[in-house]
Amino acid sequence: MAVHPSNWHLYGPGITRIAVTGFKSLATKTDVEVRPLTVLAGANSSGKSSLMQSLLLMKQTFDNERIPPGPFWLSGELAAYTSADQFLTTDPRQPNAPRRLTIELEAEGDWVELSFERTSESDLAVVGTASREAGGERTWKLSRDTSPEVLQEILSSVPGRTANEPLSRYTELLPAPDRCLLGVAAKFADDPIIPIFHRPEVLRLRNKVQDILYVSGLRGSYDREFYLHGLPSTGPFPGDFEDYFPSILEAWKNDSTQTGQGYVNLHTLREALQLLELASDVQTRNLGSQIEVRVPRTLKGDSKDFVNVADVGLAVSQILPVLVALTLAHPNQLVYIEQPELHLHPRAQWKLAQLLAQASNRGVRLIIETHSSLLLRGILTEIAEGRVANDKVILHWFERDKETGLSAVRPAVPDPAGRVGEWPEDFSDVELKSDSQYLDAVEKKLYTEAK
Amino acid sequence: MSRFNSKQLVLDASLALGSNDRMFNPVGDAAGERNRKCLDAVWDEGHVAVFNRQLRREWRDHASPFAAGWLQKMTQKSRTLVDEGNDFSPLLQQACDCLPSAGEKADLAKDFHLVQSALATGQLILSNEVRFPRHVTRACVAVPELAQLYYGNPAIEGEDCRLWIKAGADKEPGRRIDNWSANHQP
Repeated sequence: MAVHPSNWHLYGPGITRIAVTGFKSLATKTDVEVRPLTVLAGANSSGKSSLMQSLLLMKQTFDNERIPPGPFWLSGELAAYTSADQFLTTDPRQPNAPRRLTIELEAEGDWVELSFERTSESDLAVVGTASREAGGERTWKLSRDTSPEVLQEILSSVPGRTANEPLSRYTELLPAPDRCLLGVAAKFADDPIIPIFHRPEVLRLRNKVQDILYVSGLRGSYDREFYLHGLPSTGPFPGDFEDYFPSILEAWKNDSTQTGQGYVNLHTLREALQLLELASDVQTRNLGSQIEVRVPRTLKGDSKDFVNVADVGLAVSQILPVLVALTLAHPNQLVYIEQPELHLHPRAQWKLAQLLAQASNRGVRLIIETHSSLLLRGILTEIAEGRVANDKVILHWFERDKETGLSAVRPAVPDPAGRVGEWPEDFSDVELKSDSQYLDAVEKKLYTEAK
Repeated sequence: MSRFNSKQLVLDASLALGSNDRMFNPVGDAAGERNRKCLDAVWDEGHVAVFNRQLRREWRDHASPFAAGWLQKMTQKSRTLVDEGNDFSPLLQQACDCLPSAGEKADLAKDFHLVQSALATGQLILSNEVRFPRHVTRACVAVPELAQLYYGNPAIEGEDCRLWIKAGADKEPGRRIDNWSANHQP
């Protein structure tokens, strides 16, 4: 879907920064800049997922129409907890310190900070929302003890409210939790419905979070048929994106719009599968309420020899949700993919970088969590060969302190030659050490035998 | 990995070829292992590998799989440096004039690109060549700048090149190219 960069604004600003404090191992503020191609890397349990889990917890809460008992829907498809205790940081250096969580988001100037803490009534409550609009000078701060005057100011600043509903009709203004946001509740006489208002930048970022396409690292179903969703093929997509890709493929196949975008998308997807040398084509078969995804048995792609995706290597079903998300996502939409390289042959891992670069060049904002040095090298090669600008890429290396268990993150922007300098990634070190150890062992064996 | 004592070293393509291994190249031997350990030491200690166009071409043509992987990782870490050095062609002529035979002159000319880049950077050269340092030493009479070079040869058993690199690849007197040649007479 080619959208000229000058039209990206039509999709609203993209998320450019995520900062989390107090979530799992992220004890101190973990501030991560998001560029069109953002790579999160680090050892296992270094805190990569924790950063994004706080956002997924928000998405899961916004996705669910039911009102949660606290600020978040704790147990869901994207994140599963039974108590806030399980994700609030306990800092071993300050075991008695109050446990607080802060999530900051920025989208090209719009800035929002959400604060949560334990209260006497609840194991976690939203206690503050601060925000500043892009280009705006004022920071709007809303807490549980904000004065009625300030509440009135905030309400007055909400575009459209004063024109349509004079403030005088409200008998009482209160700071009120609205899922994980704190807003201004406006009581009107005896009306039992109490609307809650938010600053426009807060709502924009809320929508951005809900709009995230999340492709989980636990994917690759062995199912032979998939549930056919009736959601529009452009989203939003509550929960894990993997559930939707067969329905989206079916919608693309049946696209009867004038632009034929579905056909274009299917063509793009076919090209991607061919690039990765996984399949030459992909089809769907509608079985009523279920849907079957089929690919050619051979790479050559005999049109009469399609088989169920469950009957070919797992790599195809692993990568299809990734490729569909990359193709579908609109400019400035955040696509978060855990381990895109799962089950892929090294050659495909390396080539996948080309597809990530293409999507980021379309304006999609990708956050990739990876353990693949080949994928990383592929991204750096894309930069060195000039297919993606170096300033569109940022790498974040997560490390966890062995003593305290707390995470720290080190960013790096590659130079135009695709070099990252002294970024502390250890892939290269591990590879060189493993090569050396293997060769030492082989040579020792051969010398010993020769003697 | 230490960084404070990082040095700039010119690594001849003989190391790239010499760091072979039996899996990929059946001529692997103890010298090959020593070459590989030297590359490991350069990586571990955060040293910088200096290249020029010709040297880079030689590495590309001759590098063992291990050396190619090593170079990729060094490049990714921005630990490679391209420095052609000053044009020493007038000095090359003077240097060659010090050598008696056409073969020796050709040997020196062949590897003079190492000298150019080394003089422009850290003055350190690692190579498996034995004749080259001798030629350079003889040429020091006419071209005194050449005596600023320091040399290590990982292929020679007992050289302890790896330990020297691990210790910081300092300009020890024994490694000055004229002293090195004197200590390694045929």
